[in-house]
Amino acid sequence: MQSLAILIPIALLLTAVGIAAFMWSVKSNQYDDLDRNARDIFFDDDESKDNDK
Amino acid sequence: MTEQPCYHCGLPAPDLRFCTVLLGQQRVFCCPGCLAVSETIVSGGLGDYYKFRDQPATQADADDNGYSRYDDPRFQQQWVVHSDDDNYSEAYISIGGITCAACTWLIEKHIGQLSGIESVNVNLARRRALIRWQTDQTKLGDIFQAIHSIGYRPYPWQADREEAELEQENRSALLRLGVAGIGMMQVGMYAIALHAGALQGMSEPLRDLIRYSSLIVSTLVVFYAARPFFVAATRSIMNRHLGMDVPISIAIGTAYLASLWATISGQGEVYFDSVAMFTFLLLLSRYLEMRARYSLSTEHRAASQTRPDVAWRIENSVPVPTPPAMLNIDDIVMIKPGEPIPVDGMVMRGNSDVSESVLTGEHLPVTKRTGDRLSAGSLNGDGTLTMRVAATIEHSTLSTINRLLEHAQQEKPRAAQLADQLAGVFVGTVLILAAIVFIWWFPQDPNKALLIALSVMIVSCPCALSLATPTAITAAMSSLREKGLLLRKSQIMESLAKADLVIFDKTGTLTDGQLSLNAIAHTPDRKEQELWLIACALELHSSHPIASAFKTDSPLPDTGEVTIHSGHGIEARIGEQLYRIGTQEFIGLPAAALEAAAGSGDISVWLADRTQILARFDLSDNLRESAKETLSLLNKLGLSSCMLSGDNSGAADYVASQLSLSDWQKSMSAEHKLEQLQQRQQAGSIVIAVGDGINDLPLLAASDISISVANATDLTRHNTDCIMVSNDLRGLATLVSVSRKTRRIIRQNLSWSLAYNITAIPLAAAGLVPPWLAAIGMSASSLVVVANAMRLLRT
Repeated sequence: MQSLAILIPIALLLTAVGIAAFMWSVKSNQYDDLDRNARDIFFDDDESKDNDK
Repeated sequence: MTEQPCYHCGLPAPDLRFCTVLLGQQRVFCCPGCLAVSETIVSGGLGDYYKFRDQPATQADADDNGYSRYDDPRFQQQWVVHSDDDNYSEAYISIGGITCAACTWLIEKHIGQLSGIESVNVNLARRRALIRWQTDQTKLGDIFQAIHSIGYRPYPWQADREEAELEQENRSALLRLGVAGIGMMQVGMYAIALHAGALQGMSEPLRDLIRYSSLIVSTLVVFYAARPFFVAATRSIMNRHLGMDVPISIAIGTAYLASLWATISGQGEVYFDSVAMFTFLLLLSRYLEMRARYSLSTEHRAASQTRPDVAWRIENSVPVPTPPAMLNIDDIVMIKPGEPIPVDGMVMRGNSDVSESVLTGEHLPVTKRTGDRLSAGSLNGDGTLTMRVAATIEHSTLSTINRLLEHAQQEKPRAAQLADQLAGVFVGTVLILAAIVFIWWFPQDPNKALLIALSVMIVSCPCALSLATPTAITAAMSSLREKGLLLRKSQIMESLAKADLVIFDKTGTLTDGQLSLNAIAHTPDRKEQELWLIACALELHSSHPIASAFKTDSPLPDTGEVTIHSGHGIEARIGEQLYRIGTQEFIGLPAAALEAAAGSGDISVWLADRTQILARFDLSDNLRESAKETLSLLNKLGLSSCMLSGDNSGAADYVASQLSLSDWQKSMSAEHKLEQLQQRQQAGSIVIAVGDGINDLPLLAASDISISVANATDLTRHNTDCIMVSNDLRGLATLVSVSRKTRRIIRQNLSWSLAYNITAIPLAAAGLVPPWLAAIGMSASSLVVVANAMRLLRT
């Protein structure tokens, strides 16, 4: 049971990291276009696009 | 052979005039525009577009748009970002005509093939592309032309305030939702541990550790994610009325404070999981509602860009392209035929027919002469106008629109805030009850009194009650949205379900607002077909809306010496004979013989040669295809229909008889319509009003539920409760039946949560409910409500 005393704070820390990552992703416009990326997989990517990213 | 739809845009392709072999098969197109676009796409190796798209494209137009004007640096300075050092430029371009994800792929690929393009990124939700290119290799005009060549309509993107606010709102809502979601999962996990610990036994330090961890996470949820509820509740208390945000805030606040107290004092129960879950669910339903509104406004913005992107300012008697935002008062601006008016102004020279349908909903243009006022957003017809700017872009017509808006909103009727009032009553009752419980228990056991009063408030936490309506409405709204019906205000569901009368406007609502030929009356010595072809040949030279009714597939006679008399008619020579077509005054000849044959349309157009009148063409509005069926569907649902028409011509009689409507009136001014509406409302009817133009606004504003049809003006759409996106009027019947089902579900939800509260509150007041059970009950009752509401998604 004592391990919990360490694991719980670690979980809290991970939550904080998760929230920070989420905030970063929203602020860097990654959620701006939710309709589109789901479909990108259908199209063949060629070299020109890979260079852009 | 059966008729095939156009391969590119899916519109009917009436003949096989435009076809070609693409991707190994014979393909048919509706017009040369679509054919050219499709060839460009396939020859660029982008045929995959047709394989993966899930919506047909919009019809392409073949016009040249003169995109080279965008190469002018003066014109670019407002919205193109140059970086001098490495010779790159960057610009956002709004793109009209994007229908699905395949479009974004197509645009990125096609533009990416141009030389000197560094990167292209198309945002589907915003209908906007960010393009970065090398200025010495590609010109901006070529990029525009390339986008145009695959069938889309590019515009320079200009951030407007509304859009920026929407983006900001969307982003912060998403952040709050995410924080609440992550918090909910985390706190939920702790809660399971705590419940298990309560059953199996758990050491106190460990329990406190978990409680403090939950406290940290839920503090973030309450103070960050749930903040909008507290702000709105404070505002509504300041305005002395108890809205739904008040019970929500009280529920979140009480549960949080009680848990905080339990954590610090080490006694009692914690409800952090309920706090987080409740916040998350509420934020989710609000976020979905907001997204529906948001995507509506961007779709609409990209689809109907009436704002001109360029104005021709006269500098040293030469027209120079200038962004409209840079026009100052007293600048002289030239308006070319077919271009929109950039800002308000006064005509100095020239005359032309100007369509003000964006502002007035009137389909026929108004003739403007020297000294007349021009309003920004209206569309110039055949003539070239020179105008003096009277107001900068910020002050153009917008102020008028705002004034109208305020006026329309003032007339809004009573029913709207019923749901809010119910919540107010409930909150009041619970607060009084908690106070009574506290006073009752206080003499017996002061310590216990506070706990029991808190547990009454928690057990009666109006979570389920306050989720009952919004979840059902959110589900209904998203299901309606898929069917092309956009609700702008969620509160109307209730009155929609109770409505028993639908009032229709005629022009543009029951009819589609496009003129078509109704009848031809002609002199006996000429053939009808021959006269019709002459008329078509003459009208070919006009861009006036009336001319669109004169369309034929047969070969037309050649015309010469064409003179267009703006607002009156057209004169042209065919063979040896000079013909004139236009209004009766323009023709100026007695029409005795034809006058006798009664007119049956909205508008009559006269055709004459030098000496006598040859024919009269009666034009009228087409009835919408779905109109008749809609009325019978509504009738089945128990709604009666009524038509109030502004016209005084025979057209209203015609429409009424076609639809077998018995309840209708014509020659109604806006005031008369309003009077009629109020009479019906006083007689106890709940009225849905359906309209399209500004002239319907008083009627729409005062009705219980207002609906604007697909082709309605911007101002009308902004002021109605519901917007129909598709041209299919049958959506009205769907709307009513979905709203009735929603009402049923809301009632089930409300009775369930009230039943739960009524059993739980007395038990809690008696001090019989252990708080952990209260917390579970609270969450379970909310989940039942949410699950019930989800059933609406499947309608």
